[in-house]
Amino acid sequence: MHELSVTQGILDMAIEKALEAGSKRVTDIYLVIGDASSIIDDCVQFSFDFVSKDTIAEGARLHFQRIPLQVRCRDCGDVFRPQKESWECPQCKKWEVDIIKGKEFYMESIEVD
Amino acid sequence: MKVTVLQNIMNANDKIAAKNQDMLEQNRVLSINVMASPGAGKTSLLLETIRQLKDKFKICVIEADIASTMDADRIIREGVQAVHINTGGECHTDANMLGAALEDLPLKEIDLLFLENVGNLVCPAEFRIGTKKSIMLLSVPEGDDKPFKYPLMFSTVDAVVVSKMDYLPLSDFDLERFEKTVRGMNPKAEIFKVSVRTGEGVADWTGWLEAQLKGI
Repeated sequence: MHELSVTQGILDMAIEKALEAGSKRVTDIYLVIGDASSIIDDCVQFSFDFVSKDTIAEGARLHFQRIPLQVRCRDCGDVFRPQKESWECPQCKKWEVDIIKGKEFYMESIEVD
Repeated sequence: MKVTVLQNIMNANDKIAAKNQDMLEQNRVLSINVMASPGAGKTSLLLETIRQLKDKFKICVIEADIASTMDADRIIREGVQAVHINTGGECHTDANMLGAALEDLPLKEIDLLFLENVGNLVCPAEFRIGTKKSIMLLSVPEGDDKPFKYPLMFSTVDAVVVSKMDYLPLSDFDLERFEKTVRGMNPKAEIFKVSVRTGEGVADWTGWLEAQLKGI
């Protein structure tokens, strides 16, 4: 639960990119967040509304694209969504896997006026 | 108008982490981020490690806590320098907090630096801070299913210390299943089975630390 410190980073990045593009208002921020992250969307929006007051991003809407956890078997290469209490490969029954999706934590784009 | 950004939200933190890492490497300090749930035995493991290694190496501990200085006080009683960071309610240590603590330390004199992170298996895994190694403890009473609940932590650390091994006969913790799960998610991680109370496995753990110290 560290939405406030993360949100400040989101705000700073959005403002920096908007100013670089020569615009005066950020209306939307598009974020991509993996399910392995502990971030809770509603908390980020709540914190954002607070920290963005009196900035060019005040009132901006945050959009979250959530990426489910996905792993790849190191043995047979099968890609699958792991179960809650087992990461066994459904094809070859091995347990050796790499996380290939679900760790994302980036800003995809912003919409500016 | 759409502006493409495609930047990691943790960029600002990661830049400071890289700076911390440079500073620690230049001063040839082996730095270790110690993470675990509250009560897993982080401080007890560090106290025992200090007892075993303090005659050979100059050790220092940074204690990150939300409020009290209790853990730092326990370390100081072992005759080792400890610095307390109050995270101000935050659930983790970020690179900036570590950077500020490093400025006050005589890094040139230190061989081994531990950062005892806030008790939490979730958030500390999301913040790079710039230590050379990161390790976690999982105590037997917490249960063998935890890797599935906290995959980010288990899949990124350099070592997993299974602590409170003396509880094993009393619990249904399946050690074999746990090891298989961790090795499956994170083949590079060392696994140590330790009980500070009985002394089991302590030498394996300190042996690993000494081997890391040689490589610094």
